[in-house]
Amino acid sequence: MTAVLRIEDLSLGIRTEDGLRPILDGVSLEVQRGQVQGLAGESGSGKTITGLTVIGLEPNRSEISGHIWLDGQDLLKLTGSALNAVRGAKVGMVFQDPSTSLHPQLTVGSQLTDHVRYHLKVSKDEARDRAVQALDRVGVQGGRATLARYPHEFSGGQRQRIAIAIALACDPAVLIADEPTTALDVTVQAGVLTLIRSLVDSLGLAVLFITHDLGVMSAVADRVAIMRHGQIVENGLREQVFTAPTHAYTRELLASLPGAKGGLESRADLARMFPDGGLELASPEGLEL
Amino acid sequence: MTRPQLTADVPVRRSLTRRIWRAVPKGLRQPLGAVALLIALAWLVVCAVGPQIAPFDPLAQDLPRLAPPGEAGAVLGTDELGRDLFSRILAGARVTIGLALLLVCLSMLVGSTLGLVAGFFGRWVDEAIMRFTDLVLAFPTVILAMVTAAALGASLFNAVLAALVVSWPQYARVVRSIVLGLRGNEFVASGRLLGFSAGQSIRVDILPNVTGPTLVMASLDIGTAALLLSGLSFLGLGAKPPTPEWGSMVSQGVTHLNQWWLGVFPGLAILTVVISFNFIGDALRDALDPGAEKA
Amino acid sequence: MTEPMPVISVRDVHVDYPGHPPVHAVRGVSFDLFEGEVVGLVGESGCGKSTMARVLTGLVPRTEGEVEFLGESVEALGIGRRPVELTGIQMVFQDPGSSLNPRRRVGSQIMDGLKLAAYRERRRLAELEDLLDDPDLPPLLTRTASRSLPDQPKTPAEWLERVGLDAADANRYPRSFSGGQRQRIATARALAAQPQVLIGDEPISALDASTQARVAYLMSTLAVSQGTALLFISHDLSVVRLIADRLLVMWSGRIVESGPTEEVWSNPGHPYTKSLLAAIPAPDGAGRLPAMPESQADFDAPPVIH
Repeated sequence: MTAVLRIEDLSLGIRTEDGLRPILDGVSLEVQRGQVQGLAGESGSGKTITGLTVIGLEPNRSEISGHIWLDGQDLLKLTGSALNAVRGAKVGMVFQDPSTSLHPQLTVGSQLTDHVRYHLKVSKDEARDRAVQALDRVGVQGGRATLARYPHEFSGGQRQRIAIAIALACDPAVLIADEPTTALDVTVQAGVLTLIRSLVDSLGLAVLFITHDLGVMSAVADRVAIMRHGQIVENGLREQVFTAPTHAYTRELLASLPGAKGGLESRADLARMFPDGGLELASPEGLEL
Repeated sequence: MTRPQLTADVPVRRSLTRRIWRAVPKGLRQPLGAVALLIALAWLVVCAVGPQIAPFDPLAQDLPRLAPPGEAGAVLGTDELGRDLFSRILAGARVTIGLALLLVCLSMLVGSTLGLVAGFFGRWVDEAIMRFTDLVLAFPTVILAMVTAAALGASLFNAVLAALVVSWPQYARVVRSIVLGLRGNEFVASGRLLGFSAGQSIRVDILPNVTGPTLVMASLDIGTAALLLSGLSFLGLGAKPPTPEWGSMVSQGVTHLNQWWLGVFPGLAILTVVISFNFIGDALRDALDPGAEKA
Repeated sequence: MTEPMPVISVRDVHVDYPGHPPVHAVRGVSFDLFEGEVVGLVGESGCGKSTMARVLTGLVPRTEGEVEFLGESVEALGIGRRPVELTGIQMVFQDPGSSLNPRRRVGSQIMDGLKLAAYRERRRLAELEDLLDDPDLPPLLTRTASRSLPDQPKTPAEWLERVGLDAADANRYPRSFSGGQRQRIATARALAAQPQVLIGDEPISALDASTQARVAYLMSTLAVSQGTALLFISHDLSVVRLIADRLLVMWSGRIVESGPTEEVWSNPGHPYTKSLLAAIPAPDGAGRLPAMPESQADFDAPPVIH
């Protein structure tokens, strides 16, 4: 199996007055067809920046080295229109909060068709047909009538489905999903996770799934990479990472979670895990407050 | 393998001069900003010692009339009464800039207090104050100031009062919106739960978070205030002759278009004050904006 | 032995937010909170749990029903100072970014709580003196009772140490602390007032997953150690069940299930609780997709009380 998206030794630093602040340090990842590659980490670990860098939205004043291969092209070498041709067409992106990632003043239809017409050079009518199909695929009912509605007329879960439809409208090979269910209620989250999994299985989509929530990761990912301080400390098959983690950081992360193997199950576990009542600030592996 | 924590600030030892340099707001470390800062400081010095360093008595009429710059020892020329223009500009700095500062302080005080009360207490208090503010804002600024100044009678102090009437509402509006935003903050609610009275809540939780943005706004406003006061004097509603005031000096220059120096030099003085204080205000805003330093 | 008296008793509370049409955020909620217990109030966004927290503190007025704190009716907070009788209810808020004043040193913010505790103690002593003249025990006595237990921290520095920070941190400003540290400081501030009730309104949901359980545990152990009842509000049942003695599950402005944590967790009775539990993804590596609720039709079923 070949990787659709291959991130190779990606390093990124941000120039500040005090010199270069390192953000990513030698990140390497592969996303295969029909597979969900999870990327998990705590806030500030660099997981979101990794996703943004793939679609060329790295922060200002960044210095980047390494390669991001997609279709034999190094995305880091692309600029201007060549990069635009990849963004949205070959790589789709879904963000955390659908209430801000969708444009409130544009109809769902125009958000679904504008970039399709730009990228695929199809007629307005054909773009609308594709849009209806795309909505159908993500389980938003209503056909053409839906296209005339505005984002605020939908619930949070439906908006995220629409955002996924927009990301997939040009049939990209890769979908980058950055915390796509974090802003949703758990009951709604269950539906969106099921949708993403079914899209991967039916379309052969390659997904880079970024989240801080290891429960979500365990539900949807095939492979899981754990990130800390801009480095990937562990990357393996889901079951191996969750049941037999090799890195001490992963072990400690799991031990602090309710429901994980060896994780917290009761108040007694809490008392054992934090004998001082939860006072101590940082553990040896650097889980910190 | 140990690595330094990426998000934490890495303490770096710096020399004292570099530390002082870094304490200067970023905007003022650019060449243009530095020039603006120097000009503003120079004007403040002139305000303090202007009449003492003036080569001539600004009111004495003993030089040749309408002498062009450089003649008869007058660097910037003389006016129609034979007064040294350079000395009058130096002496006028105290009047124009001093009154502009006074005006800004007064409108900040009046406007912020009203805005604070409106924003914090809300309901009918807010309604009453803000409708009154809208009423004032509904009039064209300069015309309202003119009418007020004319009604009060032409004098410098009345010009300040007239300018105050039109310049407090913007402070009221901005401060009110900041307070409204703050009031929704959880620390304000938590203070109230700990038994803060309204006064305590304003003093401890609201005021310290309002002062920064208000000061920035005030510093941006100094130039405008100088302009407004000069404008009133230009129209004959402010300084009375022979008081050296830049606006009224420009106004005299207009009647002597062939003697260009009469209008140009006081005009340049006004321009430099307006621009330099604007730069400082911008730099202050960038420095106090909490989001600005986050990468 | 007489029946224990609840510190807070909530009876049939309704809250409507004005609007067109008005929003019925809370529709008939009743429960009791007893001294020293940890109660988890869980539900999803819009179920009315945060509104409930604000009703208990008086930050939001109730439309109907009764909330009593040690016999005193809890009224909505107006412009004036909060009645000292009600300052025994304190709260830790959700957003670590705004739960502390950015322009004040954290030590001085914790001092607010200590000052309140001292004031309540003085009030109590004054009332005790009045007692010498009045043979009937006035109910006020219990309301302003300050539980100045012997081992309670007496200074902001001691409080910082109590929540796992450095005494020297008292001189620092909130921005130099992480989210979890700020929530610890906010907890110290609230508990320093020696309240009878502490309400945590989603206090851990903005924190990293690995610190959530720790901060929740710290809050509960500190509260219990000084006899404070803790009402812990959260959407995340998997953490709440670790610290709560009892659970209240809210849906659509009502409590649909209540009972001891272990029973609700392992034997949910209400259809909504069942689907809520089924939707929680477990970090077990099994690759099991969480179950979606089939329909909401049966969520209107009568509440289940264990």
